[in-house]
Amino acid sequence: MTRIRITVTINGAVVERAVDPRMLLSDFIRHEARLTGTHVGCEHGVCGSCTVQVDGSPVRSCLLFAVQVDGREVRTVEALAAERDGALHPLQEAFHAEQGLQCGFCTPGFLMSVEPVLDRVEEMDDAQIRALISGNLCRCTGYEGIVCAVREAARKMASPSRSRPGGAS
Amino acid sequence: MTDRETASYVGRPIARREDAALLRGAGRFVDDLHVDGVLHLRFVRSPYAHAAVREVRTAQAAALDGVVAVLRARDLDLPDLTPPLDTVGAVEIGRPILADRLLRFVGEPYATVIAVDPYVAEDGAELVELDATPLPAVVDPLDSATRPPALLHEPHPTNVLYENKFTAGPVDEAFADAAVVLRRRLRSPRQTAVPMEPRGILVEPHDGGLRVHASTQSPHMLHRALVEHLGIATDAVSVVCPDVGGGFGLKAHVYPEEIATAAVALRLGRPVKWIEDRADNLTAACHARDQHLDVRLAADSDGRLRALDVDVVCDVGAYGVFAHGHLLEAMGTPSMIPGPYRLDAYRFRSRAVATNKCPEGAYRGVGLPVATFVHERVMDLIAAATGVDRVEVRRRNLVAAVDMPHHSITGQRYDSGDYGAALDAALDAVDYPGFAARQQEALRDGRLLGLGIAAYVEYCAVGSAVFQRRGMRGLAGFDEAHVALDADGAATVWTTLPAAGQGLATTFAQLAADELGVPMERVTVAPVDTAVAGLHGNGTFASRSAVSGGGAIALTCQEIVRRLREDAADLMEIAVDDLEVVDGRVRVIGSPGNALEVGEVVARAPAGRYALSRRYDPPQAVYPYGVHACIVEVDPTTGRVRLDRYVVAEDCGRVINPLVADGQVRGAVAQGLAGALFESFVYDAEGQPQTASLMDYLVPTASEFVPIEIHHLAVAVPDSPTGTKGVGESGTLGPGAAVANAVADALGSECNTLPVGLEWARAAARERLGRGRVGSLAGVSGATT
Ligand code: FES
Ligand code: FES
Repeated sequence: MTRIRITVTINGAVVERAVDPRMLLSDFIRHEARLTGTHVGCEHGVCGSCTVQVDGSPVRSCLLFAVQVDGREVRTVEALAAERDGALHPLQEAFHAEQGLQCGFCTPGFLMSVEPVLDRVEEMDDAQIRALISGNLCRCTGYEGIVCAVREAARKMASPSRSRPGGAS
Repeated sequence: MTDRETASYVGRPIARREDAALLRGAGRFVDDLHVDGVLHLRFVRSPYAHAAVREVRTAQAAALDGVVAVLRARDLDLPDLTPPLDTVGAVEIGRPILADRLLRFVGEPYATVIAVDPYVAEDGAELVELDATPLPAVVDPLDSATRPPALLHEPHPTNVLYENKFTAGPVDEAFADAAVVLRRRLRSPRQTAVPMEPRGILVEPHDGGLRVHASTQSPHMLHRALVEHLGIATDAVSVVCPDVGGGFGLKAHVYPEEIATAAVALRLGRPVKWIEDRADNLTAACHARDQHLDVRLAADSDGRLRALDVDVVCDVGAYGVFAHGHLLEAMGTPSMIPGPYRLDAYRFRSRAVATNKCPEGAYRGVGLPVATFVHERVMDLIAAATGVDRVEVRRRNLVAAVDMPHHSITGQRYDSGDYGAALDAALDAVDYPGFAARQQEALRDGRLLGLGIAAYVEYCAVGSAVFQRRGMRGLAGFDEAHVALDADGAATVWTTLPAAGQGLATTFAQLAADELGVPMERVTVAPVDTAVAGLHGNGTFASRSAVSGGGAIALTCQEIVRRLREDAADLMEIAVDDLEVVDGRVRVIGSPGNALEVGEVVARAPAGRYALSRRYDPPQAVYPYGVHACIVEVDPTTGRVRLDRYVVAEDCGRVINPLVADGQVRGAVAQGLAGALFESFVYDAEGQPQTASLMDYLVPTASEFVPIEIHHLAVAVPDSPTGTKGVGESGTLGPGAAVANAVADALGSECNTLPVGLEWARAAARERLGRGRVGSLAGVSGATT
């Protein structure tokens, strides 16, 4: 198979590799860039564990080939705290406080799905928040802690007294 | 035992230690572990439900660039993985590591391709050629038991792999003279656990030995199986658990794939990784709950249950699982069908029947959700037949608190509890007395509301005596802890119980800190590693970690505290009885200024005195119980069941950490609801799986659930060293029964098959409302999706 040279910016760092055209973005992130916070739960686009952001929008990295993001910006779960000098993002803090995770395998996917739209959550009712996260599967929590975490994080982010700047997206 | 007065961490909602790394994406799951030069393994799996193999040709695959080896059964040449069973009525059934002569289910591995990357391994797998003759597929377990189209395990002359007949009390007399005699067929669907992380293992060979990283609930069982199967020395193999992305019973077993991966690594002398994909996880890991039940009940006109006569057929698939065997549910379900009720006459026949399907193993609740489905349908059937209110029927039959401990007719010893109080708490929460009026009012608007109740009792934390009684020789039943104190007074705790989301690094630290009398920040719970201190134990299943792991930790810490006081007494020249360990210091009771730091006592003791292990073997099971109540609405236009309320009133004994305990309950209830409303693993008549992706096997999303309201009761638990009962599985017991009863209540039609079928519910709803009216209701129903 002819390899194709691609250049992808992941969490601000440039990653240049020659890859097989069939290499999935999820594998590229995990095994080439060695950022293993992005998880693979189904490889067929249902579970959402592999969600990352490409140019600011959530995508399922198991449904894209790495060559499709040549020249684009990818942001993974590792970026959330890294962009805050290691401090947890309010969404991560809320997941911790509200029991939004158990095994934690699904968690990066939820974080990356929700983070770009957190500013819209304040207006949402429970059913809308549930709909918002219904592209991600969690088998441990029954989702309740995740719903609470998303609501709490949105509330905190919206409150003017917050001490840290908003996310970089 | 901890002095409950001074306990300072246990019982508090301490946020979990595990979270920070997982939230940052810094968790370490098995596929996250990178080893240079690692090879990737792919199994080649049977496309047939049942077939005789003529030949497996590997030349093409082996010639592919990047393929390192292609191995068949005869190349690996390993003995079968045979769950050791001494159970009366059961046969021991071997399971090939790789199938050789016969393929017995779609997904069974018969060859393996090892390559430099997973893509190439997959390419190689497609080039392996199978020449096989299809045999008749055994799909229907009832046929399989009586007139099988083929035999699965010749020379065993039948597909019935386990049969148990039980009779106690005057069954025939009860059926002869009871006012109510009913017979119903109940159906529990085939389901599977679907941990979000599929199975996986990484094996690194070193100097004739193996270092194994496995996504497992049972590392010590895996360790033993590897030693026995590969014929290597006990101390040459070690198994360590990285982060585990959910298990739910599915990872409680040792699988052929794990043994094969280790064998390949040993043979090639190179690190090898096997990461399962979702299709393989759905079709070839393990399934559960596939049961057909024929239930006869006899009751008096006042609602008292007189007798049950139940025929249980468990469709266990092609093999048993290691080391549990094939009789987990066939044994467990009938033993708990009496549930929390008094029953003086009971007969059952229970069979585990082989079919050409994925083997059945453990799935959270193992057999008891089905038992609950039976006894709770029975209670509602009695209510309907006698006209006695369903709550009153339950009250008249529940085991009373004053009768604890209660010996059930099947020999279970319900240790403690107040079942009536749980019923009260659940009914209060849903306003049972007010519901009938609400339901009537809704009905006038063409809306179908129903309320369902499910009481349950569960056994958990079974010890070696119980496993031996069941004939399950391969299960340890006990657990061990090793605790080491260092000269800084910091403690490290190792156990035989890995976590897969249960938060044990937090709750075990809470327990140990209280027992030791040191600040919790000074206690670390280390990952499970079979190389540490020669520990052996059961692993994390059967809701045992708080009782059995907690027990082992408590015993170990108590011995450490004894030594601390003894040594400090010498150093301080004071009587042992005048010393206590509090807040990291050994101090004089009543004169706290007079103290030695724990670390100082350790530093002055001979090496090794403060590194020790203890075992806890639960002498008998403990019995959490509770009542679930739910309110549902059925949409007459679609048949969809929408949850309105879900309430849990439960007693798991002393709660170590309410955040963690509630998380366990919510997650378990969600899985139970998933099984009640959505999940069913389907095979067609040829034994081909129809639900081999998450597009077809419907794991529910957040939109399908409502908040789950939890009320804890805590009646003292005499038989648990930590005062706990176990909370990991009980939430799965109620939902199937509660939803079925609620749907039946809404529709006025019996709901005896799970998951609730849309077609069926829609037809029943239309009948309930009367055909004429439904048309005009379409679109204005209150049900949503
Ligand atoms: S792994 Fe990509 S959606 Fe499941
Ligand atoms: S926390 Fe385990 S799958 Fe969501």
